[in-house]
Amino acid sequence: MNIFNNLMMGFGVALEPFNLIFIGLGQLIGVSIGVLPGINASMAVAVLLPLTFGLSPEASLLFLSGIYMGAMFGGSITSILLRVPGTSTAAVIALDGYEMTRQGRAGLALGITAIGSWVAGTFSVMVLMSLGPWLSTVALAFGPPEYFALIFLGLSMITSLGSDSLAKGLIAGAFGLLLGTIGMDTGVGVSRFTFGILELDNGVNFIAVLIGMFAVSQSLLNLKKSLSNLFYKGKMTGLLPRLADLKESLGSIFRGTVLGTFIGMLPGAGATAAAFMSYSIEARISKHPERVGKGDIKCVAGPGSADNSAAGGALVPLLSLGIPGSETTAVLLGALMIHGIRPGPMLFTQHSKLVWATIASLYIANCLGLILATVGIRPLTQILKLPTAIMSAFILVMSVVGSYSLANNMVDVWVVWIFGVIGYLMKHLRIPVAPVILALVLGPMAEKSFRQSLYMSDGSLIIFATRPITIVMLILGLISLFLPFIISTVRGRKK
Amino acid sequence: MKSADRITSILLVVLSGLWIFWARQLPYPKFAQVSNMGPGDFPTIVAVLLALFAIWQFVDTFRHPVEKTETDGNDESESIKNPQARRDIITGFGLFTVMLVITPFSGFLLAASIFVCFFLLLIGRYKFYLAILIAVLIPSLLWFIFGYLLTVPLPKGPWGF
Repeated sequence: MNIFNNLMMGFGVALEPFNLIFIGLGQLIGVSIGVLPGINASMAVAVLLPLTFGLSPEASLLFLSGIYMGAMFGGSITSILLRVPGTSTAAVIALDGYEMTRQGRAGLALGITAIGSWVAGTFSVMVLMSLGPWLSTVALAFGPPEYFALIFLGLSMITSLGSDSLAKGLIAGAFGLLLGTIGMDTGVGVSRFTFGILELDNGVNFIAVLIGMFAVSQSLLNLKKSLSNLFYKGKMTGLLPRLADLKESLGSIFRGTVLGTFIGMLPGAGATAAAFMSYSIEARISKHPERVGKGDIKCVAGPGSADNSAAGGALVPLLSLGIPGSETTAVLLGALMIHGIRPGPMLFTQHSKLVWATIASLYIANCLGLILATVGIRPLTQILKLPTAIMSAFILVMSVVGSYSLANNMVDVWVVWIFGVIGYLMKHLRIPVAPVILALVLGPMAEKSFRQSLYMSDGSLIIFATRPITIVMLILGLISLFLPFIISTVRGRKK
Repeated sequence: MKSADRITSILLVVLSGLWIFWARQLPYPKFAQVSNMGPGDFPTIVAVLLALFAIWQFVDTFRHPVEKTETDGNDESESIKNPQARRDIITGFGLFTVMLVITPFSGFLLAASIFVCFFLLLIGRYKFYLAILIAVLIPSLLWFIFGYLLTVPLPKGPWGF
């Protein structure tokens, strides 16, 4: 049976009224949960998993996949409108998305994210069904040195995220890496820089840092304007992207989609890393660097697509090899096993009905998501018309609840407080926030893969010079790191 | 801005120094010697980089004159000149801190209600009855979503909520 016939069989199952209701319901619940800070897609899927015990394996997986895809889009809604990232993957969208909201282009930001998500989701599903088994084998060929080189390449983009000073961008990046070293050292099991606080053994919670740096610092900053222009109060224009906007964003959507799909397939890399790396690329190659961080539609479209395609990409190793590429797919793996299904190379043959129904459901979930977003954009932007004092108080209280719910302890809430202050000071000092977050996400992965590589080579750095993929990525990373220095030196000499 | 940048640079160099000091105190187990990398080595490298970048910024403040740029009034790095705005920030931040301090003792619902009420009265200049009403509504809504629907065990006071 060829791919087309398989897909038709999958649609046949997914479009059964009962299953369709569950996909829609999952999507709706996913979007609703995605907007809440502190509750990410994996938590949403885990919390609602018990609801599926009585369902058939097909309905169960379709429902959970709907939640997964819905939560990915839902997270970007509050990021764009309120600068409160609903999910960690959507945090980077807040950088330019919120600026677009302040310019009265919230609808456009939401619209382009929805379209990007749809394109990305569809693309990653196509990759899943056509190249799934082959690509997951390639992804698994990525050993620690390749991982390190890939992360180094991502981190090298930090220099492009600096505001008006290269030094400040690098300081922010190094500060993020420093924060990433807090917690239990996974290599030898030693607590580092935790000062006896057990809750810090797992590291500084990344989402708590995000909530502090984005939501709390922004709320404090806005108080200095005496609540006069906390949120945009004018008329919202461009509720849906125009052809020109789509044309402008097409390249970013494409780049974000391809990058996200591949990074999603790499176990452990995740959608957050994909979104941040996509942002870095868009910032680096932008023809108008002065627009970056000030409402550049490309910096919203790229990461918005990358996180969604990474979600689809993460399903490739799950379904074809039985290896979850992310937290959420690990929960989905659990859901499959509850129903007595063991994902792996034989899944496509032994349970083809289930696999193809899931693939078809992702198509349907993407289309439903686009419809939901298109219909919901205008009502969503009405949230900005709430009185600003109420909105500010709401954001601060939501920051507390969101951070507390991460691990049910007050340490994360105090992390939010500390990073609220740090974020506020960084804004005043014109130190960019994005490199801190990028480095905090990628830093621990970089250290882990670097040390694993050294274990493989008995402590010799030669290992990085003997593997072709590693060499190419390291060279690209070095070029990316030093290019801004060279350009600024050349410009300085010309002046 | 120049003096603020210099102070920041000095503080970051001090932070890097402390980080290196603490990192060197970490144990170096025998099996870590296989990779030639102990738990304190990566943090040391990062701290050295941070110190170097901070020194670079410090030197930069002497090399480059301050460029005055036009702002649209939304520049977040502008100093706070309006005394009212300064008071609002201090009040808002103070109230937020008080909420975090009292939450473990009073429970989330009461702490958040007190915070919202005073926030609206002192910063939003709302009427008392309206502030009370909203102060009950917002925390209750969030408690319903997180505490009831998502079963997150939010902090409770001695009175059970």
